[in-house]
Amino acid sequence: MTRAPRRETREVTLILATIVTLIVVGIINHDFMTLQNIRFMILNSVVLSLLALGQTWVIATKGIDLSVAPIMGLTAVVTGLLEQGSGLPLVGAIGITIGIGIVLGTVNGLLVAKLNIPPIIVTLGTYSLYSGLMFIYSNGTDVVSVPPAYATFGNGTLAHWLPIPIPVLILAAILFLCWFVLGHTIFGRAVLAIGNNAVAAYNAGVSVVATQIRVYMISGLLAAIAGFVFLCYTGSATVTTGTGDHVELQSIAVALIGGTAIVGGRGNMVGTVLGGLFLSVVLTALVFLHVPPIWYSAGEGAMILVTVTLGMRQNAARKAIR
Amino acid sequence: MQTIDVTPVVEARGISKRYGPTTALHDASFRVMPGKSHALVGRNGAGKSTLVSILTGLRAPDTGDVRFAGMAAPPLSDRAGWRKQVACVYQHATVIPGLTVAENLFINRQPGRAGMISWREMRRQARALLDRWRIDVAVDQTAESLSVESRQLVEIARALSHGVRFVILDEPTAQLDGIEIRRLFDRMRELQQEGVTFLFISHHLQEVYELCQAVTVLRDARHILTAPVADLPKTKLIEAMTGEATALNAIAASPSRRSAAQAALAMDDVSGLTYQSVTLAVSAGEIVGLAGATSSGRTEIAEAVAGLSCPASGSIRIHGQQLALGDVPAALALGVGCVPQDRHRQGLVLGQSIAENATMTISRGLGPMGFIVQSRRRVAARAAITRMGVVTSGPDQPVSALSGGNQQKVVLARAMASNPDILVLIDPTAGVDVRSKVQLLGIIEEQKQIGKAILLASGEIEDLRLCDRVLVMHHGKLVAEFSSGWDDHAMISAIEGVSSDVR
Repeated sequence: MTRAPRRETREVTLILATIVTLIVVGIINHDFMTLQNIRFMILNSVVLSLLALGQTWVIATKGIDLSVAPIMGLTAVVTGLLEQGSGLPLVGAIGITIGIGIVLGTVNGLLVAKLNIPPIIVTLGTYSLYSGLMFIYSNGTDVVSVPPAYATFGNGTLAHWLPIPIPVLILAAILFLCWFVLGHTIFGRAVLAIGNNAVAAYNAGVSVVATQIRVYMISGLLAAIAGFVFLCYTGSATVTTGTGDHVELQSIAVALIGGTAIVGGRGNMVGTVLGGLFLSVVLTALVFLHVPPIWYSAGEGAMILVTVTLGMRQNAARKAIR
Repeated sequence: MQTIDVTPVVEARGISKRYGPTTALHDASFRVMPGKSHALVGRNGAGKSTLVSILTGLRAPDTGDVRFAGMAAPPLSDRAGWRKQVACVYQHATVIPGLTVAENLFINRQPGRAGMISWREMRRQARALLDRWRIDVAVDQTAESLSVESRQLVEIARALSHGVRFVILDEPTAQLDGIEIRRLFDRMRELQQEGVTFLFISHHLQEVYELCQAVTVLRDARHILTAPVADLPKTKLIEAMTGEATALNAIAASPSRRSAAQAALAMDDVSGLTYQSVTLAVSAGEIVGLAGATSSGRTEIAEAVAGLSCPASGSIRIHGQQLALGDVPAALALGVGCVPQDRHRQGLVLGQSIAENATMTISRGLGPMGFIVQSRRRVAARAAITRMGVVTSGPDQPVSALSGGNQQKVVLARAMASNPDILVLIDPTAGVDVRSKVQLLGIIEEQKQIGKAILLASGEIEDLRLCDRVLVMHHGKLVAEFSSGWDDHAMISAIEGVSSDVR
């Protein structure tokens, strides 16, 4: 109807691909489908999906945000070290997380929108800048543990009758918000309009500058939340958190796998979260298929390229039919 | 001539606009009265697009002012103010392709509360808007799926919903077929009844007579006349567009040197997006002109020969050899040199030197194994500079520092650097001063004398006068052929699509 064009096939494809991977790898290696591993894959996918939801906002405007990795790492390290040093309460940590995300994201947005620097250059620069801040702040100290309150936030459930990990609930709430705002608000439609045809959007009275600043702010905020969730469920953080796993690449891949167009103008929030789950399962499967560790990085890169290419083919085919 | 006691919808007074050394408009004044369809005509470069950009507030005039219904136009930065006064439907889409018709109509002002869109309300309002102007388009389809016809109507409806009652249509019929043009005109007449005023830009004078009540002619950046269409016979209109004889009128085709042998370039039943079943041949020592309005397909046909665009069907042969379609290196290898239409976008690497630009097509011949011997390149570049008469401080000067005419000489030098047998020249003298134009045409003539086959696609009458034969295109078809010595009025009538009795 008056929504974005229907893309349910993308969601179905991703769900089927995830299930097939689970079954095949589960048959090959019986340890794959243990409760503990499933839990790990889900929590890992929450982090990926949060990052990728932010990325989806940015890519929908035809931009890109490489700095999500250091924003995630910086948030995990800063909140973790503050807790280790002075026993920062959970509420305070959440406040600091939100603050870091909004500030660093807004810096990206201002550079992109006000100074008109290409997003890839801006976020490549702030990638280095934010990782540098992480080194300076931590001085090489690692976060090695978190208190029970944090651990519950990262692993526990709200109530015994609701056996769903809190991060999953957070992701669900954020997904709903993103889906709703993109599809049903003037801001969301302005994001798509800019990605589609920035000149026409400007001529129609859309404030391109304000909209761009906001998408980078959202991306920074979600990356920071991802960092804090990561800290809470793993109980650790180091200066290579985020950047070491090159989550910026993973988040871009997840958004594209989920059906968001790299050329802008199209964003699929539900697809992004399903893409995050799929990538998490596939990456874990590499371990359980006894791929030698030195092959992880190459395998992961190849995996991402293959999946994204297939996803873009599907988009192209759909466009041709229409 | 005009009703005295009515305020003009738009009035431009003493508008002048210069871009660097070029005068785009000189002291032009004109007014459009309400409820009329007013035509704006003029040959390429007459100043129409400059006038439109000033009337729509995209550029400020150097002198003069624009008034809407007697009130001064808003400042340039007040886009919302301009949006209420005037809208222009361009040949290129200004809708957002991925969004629906309803969203495009209400972009950034979607109905709803607190930033939350009420889809049902928006669809209802969109439907009401389209119904009010009797536009039969589904509000839920995406803008990219609209036909050109529907897209134009949606853009008109969007403008009307902003309160605009003055709409500029920039060659709206260029991409429409006969039935669609009929429907568009019917719709325009209906809207006119409801008080909408149109400024109608067209290359087809027939349409002006059919639709408009008044016409304004621009020529060489000047306002020539504004008159009721009924008082202006076609011959007078064409005369106003063509103007007096100038020095350039002395240019004429030299005696043909074409050899009776096999054609150097032969196109057989070639069709593409903007042209159908084109068959033509150019012999060695012959200049064949391709004339027609901007959107007639003349440029695309020339581009097809140079490999810049790929035709859908048909065959192109160079000296009897089949040319791989849409393949620039293949065209170069068979000896086709090309001056593309837009020298800034397609022709030159602006930041690089004259030497680098002029020798780009032959850099392989300038040294061993991909190395370029600088001295050899300079020698080649100096030769080109001398031959072309480029006014420059030397081969190392960046082309961005040259005037338009000199830049074009560098493009031509590059097209000729590999000594091709076939030259495809697209608007080779567009936007250059008269002196450079005469020089460029002189060089082209020399090339004919040494036996090149030249295909010259151009909208400029002086270029065409150099040709041994001129083929005229109209709506993608070859409609007429003139041998040298043709009459200007007959040629322009054919180009503008006025009943062409010359064949």
